[in-house]
Amino acid sequence: MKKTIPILVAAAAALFILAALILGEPLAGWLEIVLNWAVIVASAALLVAIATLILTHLRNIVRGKRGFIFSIILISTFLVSFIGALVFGVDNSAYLRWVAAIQLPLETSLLGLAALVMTAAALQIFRSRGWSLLTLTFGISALVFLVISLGLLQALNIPVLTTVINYLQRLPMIGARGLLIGIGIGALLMGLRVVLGLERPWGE
Amino acid sequence: MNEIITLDLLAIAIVCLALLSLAIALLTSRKHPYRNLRKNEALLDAEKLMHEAAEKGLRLTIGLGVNQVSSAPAPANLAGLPVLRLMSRRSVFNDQPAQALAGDGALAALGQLIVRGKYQNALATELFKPDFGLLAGATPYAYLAGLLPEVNYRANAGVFLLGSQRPETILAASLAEQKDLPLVAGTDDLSAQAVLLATNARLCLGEDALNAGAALESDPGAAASVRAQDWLRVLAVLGLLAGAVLKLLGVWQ
Repeated sequence: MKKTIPILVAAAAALFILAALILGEPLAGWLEIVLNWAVIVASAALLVAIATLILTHLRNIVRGKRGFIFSIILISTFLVSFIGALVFGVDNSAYLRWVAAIQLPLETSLLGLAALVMTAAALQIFRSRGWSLLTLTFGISALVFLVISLGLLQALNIPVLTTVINYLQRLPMIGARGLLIGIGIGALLMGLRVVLGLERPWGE
Repeated sequence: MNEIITLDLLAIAIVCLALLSLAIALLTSRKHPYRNLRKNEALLDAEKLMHEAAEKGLRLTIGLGVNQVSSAPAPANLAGLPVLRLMSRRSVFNDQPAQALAGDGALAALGQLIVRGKYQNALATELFKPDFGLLAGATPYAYLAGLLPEVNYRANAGVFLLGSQRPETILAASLAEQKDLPLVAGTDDLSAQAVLLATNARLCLGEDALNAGAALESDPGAAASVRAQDWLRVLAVLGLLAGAVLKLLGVWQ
């Protein structure tokens, strides 16, 4: 019973959403209600996850675990932003500006770092994966598309070259579509497995 | 309007076809679900890595991915859960149990549910700690910031990055590389796949990341799903070829 109920709930919810997406108008009102329930359940799960995270870091501080200083920073920043949102409201412009002033520079610096690491990794691909057809193709295509993206070749305005460039620019899309079709089929079957109760993500 | 109805009908037909393929695959291979099954080498390496970690008394860290679309986990987010299931089962009595990190609340709750279940099955609930499955961060960058220190953990034997990962995950992959840690990665994000290819990660390309349960022989449903996927892929190829020929012949505009 304990195992059957979640399967039935998941299957019923999935079938209802599928039906509502296909039938459209007649079930639109109900679809909104069910999606709101999903948002509430997901938010509750997020709260539980945050509570676990905070408790873990509190335990780290109490036990004086290595790196507990980071736990102090995490809990204090969490409390400040949480209390700030409760007092001023999540739509308050000053509160949003304050959060953005911390979050944006941090995210931008991580993005900058990621860009540098990506460049380094692309240059080191032959060292890490050796010389093979895959690495050669990777290296050559990266180089070709870097040159194309510069726009200098297009500026020459040679009709034959423009045709070749247009053709080359379609190639990544074709490859991506191939991969996306595969991923789409995989995701569809994963969804069907959940609906049929064959895949139980919540199971042990 | 007609185009929308045609697309809906096409979608229903594809879902029905997928359902039929799955049913046939389940029925035809129910006795030996894993026989002659296409398996991903990266995930086979993952199994070896689990044994090695257990022997050395070291820990495995798994990043379950980040939620990119909505408030509920997307199918790709569930990709890492079969690996976590197996990893947790094998590390219940290890000195260093497996550590799961998620970039989404629901996924973190699912991860913790799985780990707790494994400890319950092993009648060792007293060994379970809630921090074996944690929320690394509720946004993609927060997830990354939470993941990096865990990859850097001194007693790590290997790192798994499965599920919806973003290109920025290369920071974690690069850290694992610097620390000489084996890395198994699989994602549905094409840009992330491309950047991870430039690292020394053992990579699951395309939909292989979604079939970990089949490669690890822990889920007959996933094995049937791999067979059904192969059939559907053949049909998709035939459909594309037929479409191209019809367009060339001017039958279909």
